[in-house]
Amino acid sequence: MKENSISSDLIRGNIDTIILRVLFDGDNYGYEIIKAIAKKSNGKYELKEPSLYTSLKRLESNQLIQSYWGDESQGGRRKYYKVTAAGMETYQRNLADWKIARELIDKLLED
Amino acid sequence: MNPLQSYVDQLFKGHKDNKETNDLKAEILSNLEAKVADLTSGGMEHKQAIRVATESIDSVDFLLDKGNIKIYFTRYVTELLQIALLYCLIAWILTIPLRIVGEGTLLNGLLLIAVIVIGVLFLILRFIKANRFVNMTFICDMEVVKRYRRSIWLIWSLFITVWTLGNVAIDFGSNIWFSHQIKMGGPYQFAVLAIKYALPFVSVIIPLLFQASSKLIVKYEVGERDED
Repeated sequence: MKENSISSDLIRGNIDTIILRVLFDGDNYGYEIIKAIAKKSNGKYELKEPSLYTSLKRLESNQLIQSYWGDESQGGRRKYYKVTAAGMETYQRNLADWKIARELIDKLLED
Repeated sequence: MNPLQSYVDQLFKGHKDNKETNDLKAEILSNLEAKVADLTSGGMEHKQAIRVATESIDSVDFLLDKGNIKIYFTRYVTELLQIALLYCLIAWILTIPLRIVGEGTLLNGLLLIAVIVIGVLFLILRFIKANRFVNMTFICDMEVVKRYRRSIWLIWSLFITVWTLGNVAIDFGSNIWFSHQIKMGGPYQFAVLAIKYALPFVSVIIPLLFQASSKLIVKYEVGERDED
């Protein structure tokens, strides 16, 4: 449990980028985004619903993603999200930033 | 009734019934349904799945409640002062020609004093660099701010209307009240008259400042409180 919360802390700053990456693979809705992230992390990281909604809201208000309603025949309507051009750019930039930061942190912590 | 539906209804109790709320409600409900379907297909008992799903989100206040927002108070005040300074400067320059009438001189003088006072306050705030002071926060109620903003505009329009109509009634109706027609001896008198009508419009800087202040509140909101 303890281990889990430490990694959450390290991941938190990158949740937006992680979600952008998931949507890069195709439009998706809330619960499937959580599932996709859990699957990608081999079950090691589970995004919590409050963080998901906070992040989606922020991404949408920054116009990095767009939403639309699906046309499910049964059950409630699902809200799908789609990455915008600005979202793709932000994703690329964040990824590049992360690589630089990772290298730096590796150096600072290991050597 | 569907237990998820009633759970979500209860989550949104106390929130206004508008499009944003309803959309979020539908979104959360459909995600909960998907979660329950997924958990039960993984072998979990239906009741247990509903419990797990509902426990995953226990509040929506952080997503909707824009009522109370936390702002960087010092930075907010500093920029507000800067805007006020700008408005007063513009008003001061514009009212310089109005000094040809007594009220114009008074107003122009008052504006100059305002410019100096606001300018000094602004400079003081700008030059205090202490971190604790710069990052001071303050919680403000957005609803109240919006209400004030609306009433200020309303009061201001009423004031302008009453003032203008009152002047028109006195000046141009003087025939009726005093059986004495208004006389304009020439361009100077016309200017004096025009200034009398123009003066109250300078007060538009008050509602404009309120308008700017509510925009700034959003700008200086303390970053989103992520929950995890």
